[in-house]
Amino acid sequence: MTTSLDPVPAQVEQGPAIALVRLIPLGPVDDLSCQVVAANLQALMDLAADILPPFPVLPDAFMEARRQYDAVQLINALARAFPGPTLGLGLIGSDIATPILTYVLGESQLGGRMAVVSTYRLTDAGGRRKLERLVKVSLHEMAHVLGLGHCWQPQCLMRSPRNVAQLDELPMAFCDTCQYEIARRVRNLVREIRSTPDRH
Amino acid sequence: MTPSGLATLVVDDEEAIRESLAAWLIKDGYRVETADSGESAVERLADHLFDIYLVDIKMPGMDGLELLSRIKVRQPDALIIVITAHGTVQTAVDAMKRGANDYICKPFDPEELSLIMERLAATKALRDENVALREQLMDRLDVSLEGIVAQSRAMQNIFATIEEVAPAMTPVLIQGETGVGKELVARALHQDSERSAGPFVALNCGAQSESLLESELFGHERGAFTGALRARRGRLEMASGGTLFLDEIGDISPKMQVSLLRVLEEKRFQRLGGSQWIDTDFRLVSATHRDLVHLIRQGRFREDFFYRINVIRIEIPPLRDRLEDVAPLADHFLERYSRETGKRILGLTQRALGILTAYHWPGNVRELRNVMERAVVLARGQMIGAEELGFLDASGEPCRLGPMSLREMEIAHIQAALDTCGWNVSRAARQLGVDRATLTRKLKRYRLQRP
Repeated sequence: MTTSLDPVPAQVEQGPAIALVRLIPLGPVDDLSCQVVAANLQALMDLAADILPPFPVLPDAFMEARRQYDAVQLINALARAFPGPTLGLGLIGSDIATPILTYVLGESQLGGRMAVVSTYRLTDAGGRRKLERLVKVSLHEMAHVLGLGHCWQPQCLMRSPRNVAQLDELPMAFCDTCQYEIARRVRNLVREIRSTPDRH
Repeated sequence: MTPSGLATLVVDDEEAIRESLAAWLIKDGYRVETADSGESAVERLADHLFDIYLVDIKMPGMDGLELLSRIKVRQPDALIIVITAHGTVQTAVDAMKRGANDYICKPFDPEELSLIMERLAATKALRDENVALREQLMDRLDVSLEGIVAQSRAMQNIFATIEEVAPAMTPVLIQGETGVGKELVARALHQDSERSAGPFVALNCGAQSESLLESELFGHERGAFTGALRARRGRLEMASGGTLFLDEIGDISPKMQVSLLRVLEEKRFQRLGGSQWIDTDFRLVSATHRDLVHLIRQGRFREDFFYRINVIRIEIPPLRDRLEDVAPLADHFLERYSRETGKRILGLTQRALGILTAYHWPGNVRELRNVMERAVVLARGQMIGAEELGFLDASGEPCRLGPMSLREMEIAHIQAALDTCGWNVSRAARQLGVDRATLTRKLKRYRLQRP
């Protein structure tokens, strides 16, 4: 049923498609993973993505004592390297953490521009399951970048998974309310990017 | 179940830790502020209190243990988590003995942090629900016994509006300070409507966490979340055919506003974890003490939702702006509490009534009710006098009466009565319990003139 609250795809409403997200492999990440994430960003969030060539991982972001990369530093480095209104999603094969948490699957700037997702803890399952997990974490973090917080609907991708097992239980979909909010914010993003003379 | 919207203060001298923890909590829906030292946290406490405190034990200057003690003095029911480094567990144990609710070693395991926050939020939700239920019980006693007591012109106008709009299905927004009787007006709207035979379902949105509120409103299917052992109907479902009263609507999150907007548009919804659409047909009456237009400007309240709920607006003035209602309300509560306590109390002395009408009533009718209950309990004779109201001065709330002579007090009291009655001498005389001629004589004697 169509209602006044149903979202209109932003790109349909506002002209020819433009890339809203740069997908940035940080070091070696397989092509298939990048392509599947890009396809799902487009399909579920109406976020058209460009896959960029691999970007070198910032050595300063490596926390020697913890043998992990600092996700916050990675995000800050990406934001410096890729200015402009277009969003960015870094994919990395190494383990990442924040100063306060022992590990994270992904990290993002709430209502900002950048996110980073690690495949490191998602790989205990085989091909399809691993890709599903990667897509779920990527969509979740990009929704944070659009400004959405966690959701308490049991069947929503914005529910905060406490571990990988809970991540597996989440559907590959947002609840109606989050989907509506995503559509609204993507529309605003399209407007912002189109009105920026030098988008990139 | 993790509640959100709780005010949280993170205190840590390391910026990376502070900001990283704040970012994590904000994504989970907590309202977060940060402080870089114990001293700065104490300064913050002077302005306002928080629901949850996350405090690093080891900080230069005032350490976490000292800060913990200071918080507990200012706010005995504060929920506090202390943050320790590995190897300082003994200090954490000391903190627990001093009243901390939990401790966590940094860096945290994400799952552990989630569990601790969920536990604290659940404790807070239970406490708030308890308070809200007690208040609701008291408010219900009010309406089921006697209805609304008021003489002021402002309230008479509100009664006229209620009569006019009650029969329609139009959503109504009631605005007014805490304790003015918003739920009573909502009940009156329901009673006078064609849906009076249907249910009146009330929910205080301010006392609920987002997750609890969602479950209360929409209901849930069995197994929708941990603890959902059986399916449960939500208030949206229960209110079908009647009136849904959402108090403190200004406190709900923008996300919940979208969910409710959809229900109001589509007149159907799904339970949490359910896939079946449930039709519902209720009249929405909402209330708030907040300035919603201001919240819209701050981006905390959705404009489209505001226009949907604000079709008819009823504004209830605070009690201090309708002091002529104080006397009848005081008599009403006096009669009720005399009956309940079995004490034979005939009324209030003029001095007591003077104190009541001179008081500022920050807590409005609810505060007056509590004051009268206390006065009846304290009363030794058959009249409530100034002695029984002595605690009002000590409450720290502004009271217009200082040390005055009897003559000064009489002048101030007459002046106040005339001001509230718009200098209608007959009405003021009635309120003061004297005839018009007596009041006119006093006006001459004290040379009081219409401004």
